[in-house]
This record gives sequence, structure tokens and C-alpha cells, in this order.
Amino acid sequence: MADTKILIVDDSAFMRSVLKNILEGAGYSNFVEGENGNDARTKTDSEAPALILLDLIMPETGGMGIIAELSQKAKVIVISAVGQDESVNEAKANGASDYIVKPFENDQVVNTINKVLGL
Amino acid sequence: MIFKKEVLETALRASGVKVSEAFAMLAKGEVKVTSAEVVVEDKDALLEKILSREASSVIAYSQLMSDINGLALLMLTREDALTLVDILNQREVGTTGVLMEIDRSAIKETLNILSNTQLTALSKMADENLGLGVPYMMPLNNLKLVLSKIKEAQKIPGDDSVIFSTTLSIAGHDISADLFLVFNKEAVEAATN
Repeated sequence: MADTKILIVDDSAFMRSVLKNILEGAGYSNFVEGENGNDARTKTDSEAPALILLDLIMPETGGMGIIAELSQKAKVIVISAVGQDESVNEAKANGASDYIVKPFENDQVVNTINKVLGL
Repeated sequence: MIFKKEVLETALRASGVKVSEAFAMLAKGEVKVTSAEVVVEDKDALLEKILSREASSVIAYSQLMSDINGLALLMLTREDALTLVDILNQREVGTTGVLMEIDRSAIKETLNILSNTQLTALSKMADENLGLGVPYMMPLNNLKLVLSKIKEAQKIPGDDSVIFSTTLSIAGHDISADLFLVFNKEAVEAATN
């Protein structure tokens, strides 16, 4: 579990920090961070993460438009404050393995990640 | 007037529980919405209300990504903003004296969550597609520019503004947050340029 590389993509440094703390508490320790969709693309190619936690509303390149591309290379879980059904359905149709609406319970994040990784 | 006041009030009531739950998760403590009010203002009243705020107010904004042009503006007093970031970062209240990048990020996330919760409720009640763009912080001078643009748009009908005033009690600390929804194309252009 500790070796599983997770790419956290969110323009909010605060939210990246919250997610890292939750995952560290669950035994994960191998993280890469990105601030937007361009970062997500670059770091997916250079770091080959097993899992990408992807925000949707970000500057420059948002998350929704790159889910299909990223999900060919790693599991993708969307973590977004946008909770409307249309967004959830679109993300899953594009290839997201799951969708978590912010804010979230710590257990919800850990359980979803473990489930998607098959742990 | 884009939304009827009854619809706005119902949306605010519906979102109250969700807002409490949202901040309880972030703050890891008990959260209550102690007061919530909808105010619908024309542009002159909106200008007066915003300009009467303390000069040190902390302002975050985001563009409405929907069929309706507009901005969401979150305003907090500096004291409430400092208290909020201490709570969100699990620090003793009173620790933060200056907002650092991570603190500004926490305030932008507050705008993101508070306004998305209230807009989702409003979206369902009014059957309108309402979403938010990327949140940013705005210096007071930029807000004044936006306000002057709103003022210039006086003759455009049907772009009233809505204020959701919410006071949260988080872990025993009262934090008042005003979410302004400004339905005005010129305001969007001024803010985003």
C-alpha cells in the first residue's frame, strides 16, 4: 500500500494537504501533486501513478475534459465540490472509476480508494 | 429579478443542513447555522452594502458557469477569516495573524463549498443550471472596479443581486459569511479581465 503512487490534482493547496493527511493516516506515502489538468497529463506520463485523484474545476485545463485520456493510463477518482448528477454521470461515462463530492468524510475517501485499487 | 424570493428562501433553508454537514467535515467539530437570511437588492443597494464593509474584508470570488451571467462573491471580516483558517487547519484559534498561501487556499475552498452547496439547492428549486468556475481571491481595489462596472450597467434591467447571509457557529466560534450572487454580465467581464 505504501508504495502505491497516487497523483493528487487540485488547484487548492489546502485541499491537496487535506487529502495527503487522510491518505498518510491510511498508510499511503507515495504522492505526486498537480495543480491543473496540464500538470495531470505531464505527471501521469512522467510518474506513472496507479491512481489519480482529480478535481474538476481548475485554472487553465480543468479535469472533466481529460478523464478519458487519463483513465487509459491509471485509475481516476474525481473529487469535486460539484455534486450535480449531470457532472457525476458525465465523469463516470468518461472513464472515472468513482466520484467523491467535497467535502468528504475521511473514511469515504480511504474506502473508495481501497475499493478502486482492489485492496 | 431572476429568482423569486420564496424560491431563494427555500433554497437557503434546504442548503442549511448541507452547509452544516460540509463544515463539520472540514472543521472536524460541531457546526450549526445560527442565522441565515436572503436579501434581494438592486444595484444601488448592493453597492452601498458592499462599500460599507470593512476595508480589511477578505473577498473570494468565482464566476457562475451557467446560462446566467454572474459572480459569486464571498465576504468575511478579516477576524472571521483568520478564525476560519485556524479551525480548518486544525490550529488553535488566534494562531494565524497573516494569511499565507495555504490559508488563502482554505478560504477559496470555503467559497467553493459554501457556494456550491447553496447553488445546488437553488439549481434544484429554480430548475436552472448553476455551477461555479475556479475560485480566486480579490483585492479590495479590484472589487471597487467591479462595482464601478455594475454601476455603469444601471440601465440594464433584470440583473438584481442576491445575498445569502449565513452565520455559522464552528466549534463555538461564530463566523459570519456573506455570499453575494451578482447577476450582471459587466461585473463578470470586469472581474475576469
